[in-house]
Amino acid sequence: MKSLIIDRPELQSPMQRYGFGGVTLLFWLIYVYLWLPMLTLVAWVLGFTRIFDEMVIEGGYAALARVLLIYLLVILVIGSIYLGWARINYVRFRGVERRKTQERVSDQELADHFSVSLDTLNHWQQAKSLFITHDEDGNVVAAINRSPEPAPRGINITY
Amino acid sequence: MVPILGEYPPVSILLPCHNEGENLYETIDHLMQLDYPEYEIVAVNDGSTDDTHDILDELEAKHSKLRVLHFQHNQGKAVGLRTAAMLAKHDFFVAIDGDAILDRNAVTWIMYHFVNSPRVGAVTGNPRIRTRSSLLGKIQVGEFSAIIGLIKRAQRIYGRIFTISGVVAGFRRSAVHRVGYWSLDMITDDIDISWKLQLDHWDVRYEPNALCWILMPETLRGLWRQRLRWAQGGAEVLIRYFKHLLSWRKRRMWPIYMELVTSILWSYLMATAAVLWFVGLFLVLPDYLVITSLIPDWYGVVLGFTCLLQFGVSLMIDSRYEENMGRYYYWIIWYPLAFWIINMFTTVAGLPKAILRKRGRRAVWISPDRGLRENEVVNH
Repeated sequence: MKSLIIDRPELQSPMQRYGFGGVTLLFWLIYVYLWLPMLTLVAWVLGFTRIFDEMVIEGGYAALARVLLIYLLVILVIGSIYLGWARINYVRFRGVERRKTQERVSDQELADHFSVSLDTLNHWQQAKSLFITHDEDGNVVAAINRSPEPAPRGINITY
Repeated sequence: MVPILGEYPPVSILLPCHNEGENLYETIDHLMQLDYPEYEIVAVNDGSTDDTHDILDELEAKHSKLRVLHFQHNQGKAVGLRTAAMLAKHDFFVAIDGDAILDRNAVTWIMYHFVNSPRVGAVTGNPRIRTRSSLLGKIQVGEFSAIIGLIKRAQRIYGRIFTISGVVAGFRRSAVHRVGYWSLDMITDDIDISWKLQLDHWDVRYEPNALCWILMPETLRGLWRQRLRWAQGGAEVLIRYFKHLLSWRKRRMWPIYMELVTSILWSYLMATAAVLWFVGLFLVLPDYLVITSLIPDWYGVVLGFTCLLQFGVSLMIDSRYEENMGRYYYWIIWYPLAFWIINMFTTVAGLPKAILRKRGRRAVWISPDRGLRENEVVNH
């Protein structure tokens, strides 16, 4: 069987093929660049030089620390609400099926809903190929049985 | 492992098609090979202007399982589904799009939920993107892992999901009957039916093993139109079902509602910040309105990190359903740096469209972009 995945980069122009790959690499570099102050910080920490001065003077570390603190709080709050809620539901509903089985929709109810007679509905449901006309509200107003063998009772058009 | 079911109730596969001539042989060929004891296929030719009509007639003559409903005029997907559901012989439906390919075990996986729990009204499957030639195709592979695989799993913990995927979903007849079938005037019928079912206390499940292979847009224009439709559809349910949510009995929908409101609010805030920054280049603004730079601060770095982590986790989970998902991680960097902007703009544009749209106006088919295929040349 032919593969379901359509990966045919050659259907694109060379500009698209190589251009997008290149820009993607550039994006990764930009992302790494955004982390540079952090890497610098790590370098300072490893070097043990002037780190306290830099932290106080530049304030960059403090800004990151503030964001990380908020980040941590958000994760904690959302995470505990989430896990707590999952737990509550697990305890309350574990092994309990509170919904009664629904009755199946009878053919009569179905016919009533779509405002057709039961006979008509059954006839249409057995048809293999139908040509259908709708009114403005999307209701079926006519269906012609197009199957080769004629319908059992010879009624092909129903209004 | 495909589950063994206690019983295998017969299933009607609903296949609404509008101008699907190009895809029908493949779609129906796969439907004929489903590993499920008893099923019929109800294909709807919704006033197509291509060769859909002839292809369906040809296939119908060949396959005893295939039934065909030709509509005289184009009616839209909701009417297609509604009519197919009315004329379907069986009490369980699996609806897929006319250009999608259903995995042979998907129906069994979907039926597993219906058979084992009477309160399940709908089960949505796992859409897998086929079109992966271009950059947009590759980004969407990763994006789907997150926006479907990860988010639907998370939403199942609230107990409600924002939407089924219209491209592959199973329905219980008694559930859709009770909520009055698919709405004709909502732009995204799948979001709408998910809300109607859940507001009526039906359970809607996500089954990641029910695989369905789909075509997605691979041009910016196609993607924009699709995402705008999604955003508008979300905003429409936000408006239409607001008053239903005021009831205490509907409280389980509140988290989903808040999630949607937050994401719309966030998009507007981002857009406002960008506008203020731009205006600030030319005018002197009061201090509290000054946006000094659009280059992300540490906040941006941390959010970007979260986003990349999230995609990493979702691709890892996804590798259970498809091998080699890891290689799409390379393209994910587009998401935090650029791709999210598309979703932000469509959200901003979708809300006024939803508000201004006249209630009761019928939704119609649009011909979507379905990615790069053979015999197509890409210009520019």
